[in-house]
Amino acid sequence: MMHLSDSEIQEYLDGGAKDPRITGHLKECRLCSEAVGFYRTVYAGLADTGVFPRPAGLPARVTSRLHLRRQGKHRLPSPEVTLAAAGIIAALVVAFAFLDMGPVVEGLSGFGRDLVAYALPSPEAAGGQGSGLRPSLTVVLWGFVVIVCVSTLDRLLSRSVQTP
Amino acid sequence: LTQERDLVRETLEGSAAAFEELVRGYERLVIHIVYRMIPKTEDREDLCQEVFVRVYENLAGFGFRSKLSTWISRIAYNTCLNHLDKRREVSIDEALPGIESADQTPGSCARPDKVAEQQDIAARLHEEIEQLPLPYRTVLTLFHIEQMSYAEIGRIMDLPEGTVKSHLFRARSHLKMRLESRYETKDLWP
Repeated sequence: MMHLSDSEIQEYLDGGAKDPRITGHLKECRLCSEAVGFYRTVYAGLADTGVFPRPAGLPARVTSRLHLRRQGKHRLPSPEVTLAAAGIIAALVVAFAFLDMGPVVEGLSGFGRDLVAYALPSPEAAGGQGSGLRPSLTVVLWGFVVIVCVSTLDRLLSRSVQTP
Repeated sequence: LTQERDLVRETLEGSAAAFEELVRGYERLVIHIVYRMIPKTEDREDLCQEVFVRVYENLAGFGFRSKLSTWISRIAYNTCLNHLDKRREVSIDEALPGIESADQTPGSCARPDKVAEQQDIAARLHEEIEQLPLPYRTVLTLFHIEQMSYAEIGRIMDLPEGTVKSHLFRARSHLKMRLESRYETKDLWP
């Protein structure tokens, strides 16, 4: 029999079918037995190459990374900022409803003027005192302000509960 | 397996302790894959964490249709590939044709005459493995260190079993040749 090839030796060592032809040859052939021995050394060395330093505290780091990621996904402005924004919107709605906004509107130009003109019920009302916004817009803005205030108060309360 | 199922169920129910236990159980496997695939040491730990974050995020869809170790390995493998692809550090088929795979007969190679310390050989092999193309490094790790079957490795790397076998064969032949050519045979054999 010819000497064993590299692939035959590797298959033999990988635990494939133990061909009696191969095992018989190995008993008789010193060269092939040495080649198998060499490969055994390589195999044993390969099994020992997986020694990597473990990063310390990996489980805890993963958990805290998940926590941070979850916070990042649902990140909202701080309750104080949210309440301030709601307050500004409410003040603007009230101002349009009760104050004479004529000088303010006249002082505006471009997009700001267009926006206010859209928000007001009619061009005539733009200069009138207490003209108010379009009713539908007023309802939407008040609704928004109420929702923001309720959810922000809820966040403030839960924060005070969690804080030791 | 029952314990694994319990850990997965408890993790899905929101238990951080169960998830940490799961991470502890598989950190060795993930470290082996990530450290073998990622050459930059500063990226490795971050990627290990990222693998487990993805495991957590996708755990609800796992459903035990495969072994948990295979599923986690696949996530680790794909996370590393994406990372390398983004950095354009290496292509998947990097240098594959460059590896010689001479199917030598024993008569054609030098006969080592001294066995070196096993640790020393491992250190030498480690150096040589670092020089191998990515798929070879990965199959060697999964087969020899994690002792996975050809079929499992194929599922993780999305390769046919025959290709896995051929990668393994070429990688080991190359390592053997490199050891024989680089070192005095007396260093490796009694």
